[in-house]
Amino acid sequence: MQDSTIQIENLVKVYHDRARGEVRAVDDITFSCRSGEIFGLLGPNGAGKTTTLRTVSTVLQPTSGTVRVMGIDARQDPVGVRRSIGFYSSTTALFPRLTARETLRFFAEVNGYTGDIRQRVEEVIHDLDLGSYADVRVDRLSQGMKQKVSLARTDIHDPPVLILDEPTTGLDVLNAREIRNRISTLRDRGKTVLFSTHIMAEAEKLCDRIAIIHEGRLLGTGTLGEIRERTGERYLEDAFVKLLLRRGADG
Amino acid sequence: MRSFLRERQVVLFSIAVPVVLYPLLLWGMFTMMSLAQERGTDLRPRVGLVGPASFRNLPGSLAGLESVDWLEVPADSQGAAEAIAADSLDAALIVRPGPSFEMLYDGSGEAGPLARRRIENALEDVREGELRQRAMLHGVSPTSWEYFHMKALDIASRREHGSFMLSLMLPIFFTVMVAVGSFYPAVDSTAGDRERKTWETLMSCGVDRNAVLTAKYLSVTTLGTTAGLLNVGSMTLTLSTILAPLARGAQMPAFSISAGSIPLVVLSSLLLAAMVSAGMMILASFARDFREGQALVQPFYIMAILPALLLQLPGLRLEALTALVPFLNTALLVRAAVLGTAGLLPTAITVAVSTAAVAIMMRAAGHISLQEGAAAGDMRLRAPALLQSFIDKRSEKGGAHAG
Repeated sequence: MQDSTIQIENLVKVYHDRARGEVRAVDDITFSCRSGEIFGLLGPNGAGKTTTLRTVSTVLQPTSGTVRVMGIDARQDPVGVRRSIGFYSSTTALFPRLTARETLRFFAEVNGYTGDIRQRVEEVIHDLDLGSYADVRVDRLSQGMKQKVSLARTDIHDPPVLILDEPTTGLDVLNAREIRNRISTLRDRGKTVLFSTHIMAEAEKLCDRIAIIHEGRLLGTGTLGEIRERTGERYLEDAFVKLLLRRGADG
Repeated sequence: MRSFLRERQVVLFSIAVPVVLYPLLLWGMFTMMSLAQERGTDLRPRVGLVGPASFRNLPGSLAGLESVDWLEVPADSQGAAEAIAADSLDAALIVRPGPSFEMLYDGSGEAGPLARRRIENALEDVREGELRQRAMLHGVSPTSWEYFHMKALDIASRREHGSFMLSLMLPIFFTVMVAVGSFYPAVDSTAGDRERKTWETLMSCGVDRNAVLTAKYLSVTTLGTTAGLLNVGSMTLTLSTILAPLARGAQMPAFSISAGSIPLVVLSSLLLAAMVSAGMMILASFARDFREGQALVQPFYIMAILPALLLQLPGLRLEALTALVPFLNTALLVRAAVLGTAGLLPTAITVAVSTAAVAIMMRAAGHISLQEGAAAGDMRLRAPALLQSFIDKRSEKGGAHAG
């Protein structure tokens, strides 16, 4: 796993649910991500994507297995891992009473950005094309604007790794496209983007490599071309179903 | 902190209420009391006179008593009692040979007791005058008849009176204001963050989670301290105006806090806010949303205020023993600071006990808040599971940790 910025080895995450008993939300997953790549975790709702990403971002602790980000073991140095990443999820909202500018400044400071924070914030505001919305309170921004600011918040301290859990959920077509374009730009700047989605078409458009996950287990990993070749299917949706059936046949 | 200060509830309860509400309430209350007193002065109870006609020639001071209305009544005490029960009289004075006087009155209203007081005072004047006359008839001068004369002189200064009154009122209002000022921020910074889904945003930042928790705690404590100090300042400045309706031309006490007392008042505010904030944040950590947080914190809020109510007990002061009781000690320290009677040892004990209480509570808050369920914004913790996790953590050596 040379040049890997993210290394996941035999990751297991078990929950104890009162109704369902022991739930293996992530079941022995292994993959790695490189810099300058968008790595997609693809699977239906409840597949274990969010749990995987939250474990990588140290919000959750693995039951077993190893998570390394930029060579830092998440168990040994979770703060070090968090400084190296920007994490976005539907459970990571913005502070409603701060303006966009204040939000970016706050997260730059808290995440230990070492450069000129003021300049960095202005650069990002310019990149986002926020204009006068930069000084509007977050709770008064549109959903699309909020998502832009959220994405900017993950990158404001210029981390080498971004972990984005379904960042286009709830957005209209144009806003979703804009978010995807920004993610591509971040990849082009050499960042590692670990990205999850349940929309097959989105993964096809955006991801350099894909890991298909279902019921906590990896069904297959590779580039879009490799997966097509392996399954003989052109579309990811069909490839997914085939991999699922193969897994079922393998028992 | 910036986010807090943009929240209307925080500005209202941590700043506006301490400055304005209690002084306004007190002013309103004392004004009502003054009006009630004036009304009492104007009230003329209806009093009936019962007895043989020869005893109706009452001494002038009683017959001429203008603060009651003398009315004709049935000839006997039975009739008088019936008239009082029927509310056609407030009281009746029954004159018997001797003379002796008996008074019937309705004690369940305000006019009856008022009639009693006025007539008793008038009868006392009658007795005094009669005894003086009889003494003179026997050649005893009024001076020697009096036997002794007592004169009472209050040598306390207006400032000392003011300090005493402040020491009675400030501690309870101060305690309430600190608790009120801390309440909303404490719930908002824990349960409120979870409801808004900003808890996980913070927990995934590149900073030690204990540092995040400490920063939240310090914000809450700052607001609670500010609320307490604003209230003290506001009450001190406005108490003269508030009590003016009751003064009625008498000399008003001078309300002020000496410069030497101010550091102790600030210290008390800080210690109390520190304890209240820590306790509230622990409880709010179990809540999934703001409303649940309010419900969980409310009993603690009441518990924090109750000790200050004990200050009404006479003789309770800041000593080594009372300094050992959290919440009570800070209220007593405020009182002692205002009176200028705070001793070094009790003050030191208060600081030590309060600091220890804060340290214990913050450790607990850290353990609870930094559980995986809390870090992920999903609180389903129960006391046995929490205790088990605490024990497991203590027995691990260099194991994984949530921060």
